[in-house]
Amino acid sequence: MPVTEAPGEATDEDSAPWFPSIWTFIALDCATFGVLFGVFMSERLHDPAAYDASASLLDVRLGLANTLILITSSYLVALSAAAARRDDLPALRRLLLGGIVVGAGFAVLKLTEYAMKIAAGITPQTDAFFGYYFALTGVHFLHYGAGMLVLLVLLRRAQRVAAVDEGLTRAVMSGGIFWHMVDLLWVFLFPMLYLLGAVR
Amino acid sequence: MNVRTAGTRTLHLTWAALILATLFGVGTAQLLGHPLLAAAAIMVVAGGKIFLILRNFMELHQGPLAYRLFFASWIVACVVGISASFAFSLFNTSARASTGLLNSSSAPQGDGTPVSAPRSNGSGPGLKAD
Amino acid sequence: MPMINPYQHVRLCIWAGVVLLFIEVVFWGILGQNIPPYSPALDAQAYAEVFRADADVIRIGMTGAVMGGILYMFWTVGITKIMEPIERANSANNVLSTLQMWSGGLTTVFFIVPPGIWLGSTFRAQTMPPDILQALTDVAWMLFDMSATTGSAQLIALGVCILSDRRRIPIIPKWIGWMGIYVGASLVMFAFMPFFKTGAFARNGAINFWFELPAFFLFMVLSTIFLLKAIPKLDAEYAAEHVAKT
Repeated sequence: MPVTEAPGEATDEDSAPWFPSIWTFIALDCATFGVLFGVFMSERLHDPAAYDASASLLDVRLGLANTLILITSSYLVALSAAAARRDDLPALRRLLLGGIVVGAGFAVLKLTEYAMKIAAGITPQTDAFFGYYFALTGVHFLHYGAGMLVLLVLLRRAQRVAAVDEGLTRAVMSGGIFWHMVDLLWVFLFPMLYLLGAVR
Repeated sequence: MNVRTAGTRTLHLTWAALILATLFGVGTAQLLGHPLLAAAAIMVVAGGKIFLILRNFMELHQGPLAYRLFFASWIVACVVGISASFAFSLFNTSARASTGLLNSSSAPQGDGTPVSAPRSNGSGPGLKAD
Repeated sequence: MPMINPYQHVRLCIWAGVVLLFIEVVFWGILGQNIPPYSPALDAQAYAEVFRADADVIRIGMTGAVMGGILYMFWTVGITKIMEPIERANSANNVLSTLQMWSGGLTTVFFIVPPGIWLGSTFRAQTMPPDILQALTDVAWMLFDMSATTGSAQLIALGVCILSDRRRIPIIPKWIGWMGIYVGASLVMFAFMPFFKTGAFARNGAINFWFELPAFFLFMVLSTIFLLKAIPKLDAEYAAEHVAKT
């Protein structure tokens, strides 16, 4: 195999299914978050009681609602990829729009939560837990923003074409994979930040 | 393009399973008696959810073995690492409490104590906790 | 008509990146006492004591770092010359290679200016008040870490260009493109540095020092390998076009 072919960048002639090259990015990003989780949990060991006391100030209901929002948005985007492969353009547009509208709820709740914390005098400077809370959710929020942008670009592209072509299908699949990563990173962040401090 | 289409039925079922698992995870945090069991259950449920997202939404099961192995190890490492760290903090706290090293729910940390937390400039407004 | 070589000096420019890495590790890192850096949590008096003890070695290190920083510009120009033919074949303009070159050029400034500030603080280290000595170090670190977004722009522009290559076998593998985007985007985590004096996000912490800088340097090594491998392919492409035209 020539070195110029990225792992998994299978051509159409190959029998293996197409594997998007964005997986390289996903793997590196997940590994980075793994390091961040490790840093948070090891720093927590220095003073678990103080971390738990601060964690209990977080509103589990907001975290839960945001988890349900991201899962549902991810589900709609997964359905949109299936629609693209059926060449069902109206369903693709509808489902992408649905994913964006539901996904927007995450920003509303997260920004509300940040505003409530800051209004209560809680900032990244408050203590170690909140330093990490703002840093970890902030890095995740940047991913979320990039993901929403990707979905908007995909929707715009889907609205401009008359029929689904291979390029659009691949773009929806690759963009979808990024959006699912935003979801799965939150699935670890939510219990680690919100729930562990609440178990008794 | 050679793509095996993921059945929409699989996607519907995955979504339902993820929602139920999320509610179960939050319920566990509030209801399960033992903190270590609760924490382990929460993290295992989270790992299971991530497996479902990777497999059915992101269609990783069609990918190369190296990627599947990487993500499987990543999930296991995160679940085990976070749970183990939580368990260690529990034992450590109870050991310190039983030897009288820990007097209250929060370890004292005066100005002279070496600071292990990220903040050390002391300019924050302080917790509004009661 | 004799055939010209459109990739003359490009190999040299790209190799300059490797030389820069060596200079950064030896002069900025080891001699400059930046592996690991002094803790930002030290008070001014304690910092002045450790810094003064090492000031002469740091002066040698930072002199090398300031003088060698320009090599980053060589590397940047080398990348630009590889990006241009990729871009010509896939796009109607040269926005990405231009953005990459300007961002890389600006990054070069930050390989020169912060070491210059560290160098300045060694000049009268024994008589300078501790507060000023420490403030100079803080300023140098803020510039060095927080300017990382110029590097982000450069690596992301390079990554997008590699991904946009529509050749059946891309000139540079796509995973290198994704890695560039990843490393470029991850440099944004330097944004937390001003808020932490200890912990993972402090300038000597697990994330901001032990993860971010090695990730950037590792990408420099990996991309250099594939940039060098791209030259014969581009040469062959140019020769084929040239033969077709004559």
